[in-house]
Amino acid sequence: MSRIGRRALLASLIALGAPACAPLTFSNDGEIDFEKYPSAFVSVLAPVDPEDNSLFTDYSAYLAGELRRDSGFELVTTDASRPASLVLEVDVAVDVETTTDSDGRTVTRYHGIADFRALTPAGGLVLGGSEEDTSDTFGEAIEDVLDEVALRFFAPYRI
Amino acid sequence: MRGSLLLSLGLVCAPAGAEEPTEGEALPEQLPASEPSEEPVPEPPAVELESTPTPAAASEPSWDSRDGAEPEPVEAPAETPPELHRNLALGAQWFLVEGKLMLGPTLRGGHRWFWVHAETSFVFVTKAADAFGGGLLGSELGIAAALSPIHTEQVELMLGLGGDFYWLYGLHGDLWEAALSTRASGHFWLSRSIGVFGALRVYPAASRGLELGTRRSGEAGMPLLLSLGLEWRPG
Repeated sequence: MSRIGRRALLASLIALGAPACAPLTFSNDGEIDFEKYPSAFVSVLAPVDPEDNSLFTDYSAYLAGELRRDSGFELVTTDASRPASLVLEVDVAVDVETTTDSDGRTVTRYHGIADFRALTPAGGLVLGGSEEDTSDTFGEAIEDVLDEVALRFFAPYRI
Repeated sequence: MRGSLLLSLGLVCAPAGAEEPTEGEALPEQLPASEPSEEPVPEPPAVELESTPTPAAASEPSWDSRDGAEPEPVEAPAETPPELHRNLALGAQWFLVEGKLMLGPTLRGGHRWFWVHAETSFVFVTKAADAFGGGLLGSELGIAAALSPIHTEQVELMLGLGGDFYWLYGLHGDLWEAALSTRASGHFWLSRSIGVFGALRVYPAASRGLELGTRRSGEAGMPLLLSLGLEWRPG
């Protein structure tokens, strides 16, 4: 290709491309109306690690922290005495899955399942569902599945 | 270029052809002088040599050339078909997107009709949104299989189908969007190793949070994603 031909080709590509910008929008409309429900009270029921009964983790506080960081709620609390426009109840169960790998070693995996309900103070269901996740440790399985629940309340965006 | 293409076709379609005798040459089995003989053989006259050359003589220059005439140019067989050196291309591309800067490396490999594209791009937000002030939003990962209906030394046109995945780790490490991607691309080689390309893609199906052709305001725009790039291939 001649030098003039190359320049013409490059110029054509640039000329073609300059006005051809496409809009590409990443969006999340939010699964609930955060203007209608700006605050949430969080309550998590989670099992205690059977291999370490002394280890207590406040998973309500963990989920509240995740929601404060990423959700569309203006206020998230674990204090039942504070008024909230939404009550988020989460029941977590963990299934222990033990398998044997090709070398004969026992491998334990923890499968977390979280059923959640977002209710009005009067008890009306606003949003409900179930999330699952699998991890290497008992505590991680609970945290990971709570992360999935928190994602369902991610703040709306259009970027 | 036409010559090399024909040579390539010849090498691919009839690889054994180079070993076959050309018209006018005799097969070794037909040559009486090929069998060893203990008795001294008198040197045959030139006329007989021209009609029945020995195998040794067949590999030597023709008699005409010994007489001082210029030997006819013989096209030496290529060691490797040129395409085998050129089935890989590394590049960099820039997506033309409103309010965002998307750029990153590309890689494609294949041969003649069938190619595989892989790409990744960083996605920067250049126009701040309410939920995101700007900066690195995430990365795009794309992979596609493509057919090349037109494939010459200088121009390659490709039609592909694949998936584009957007990992929005700038917002949250677990946020992904995905789309089925159909694409057409044109690759123009400016030299043996350097080329430019343009790719056009549409998303016939995408996850709910990925909107190609829709502005933040909700206003509709062009649903075609164009990218331009530079490519390099081993010479």
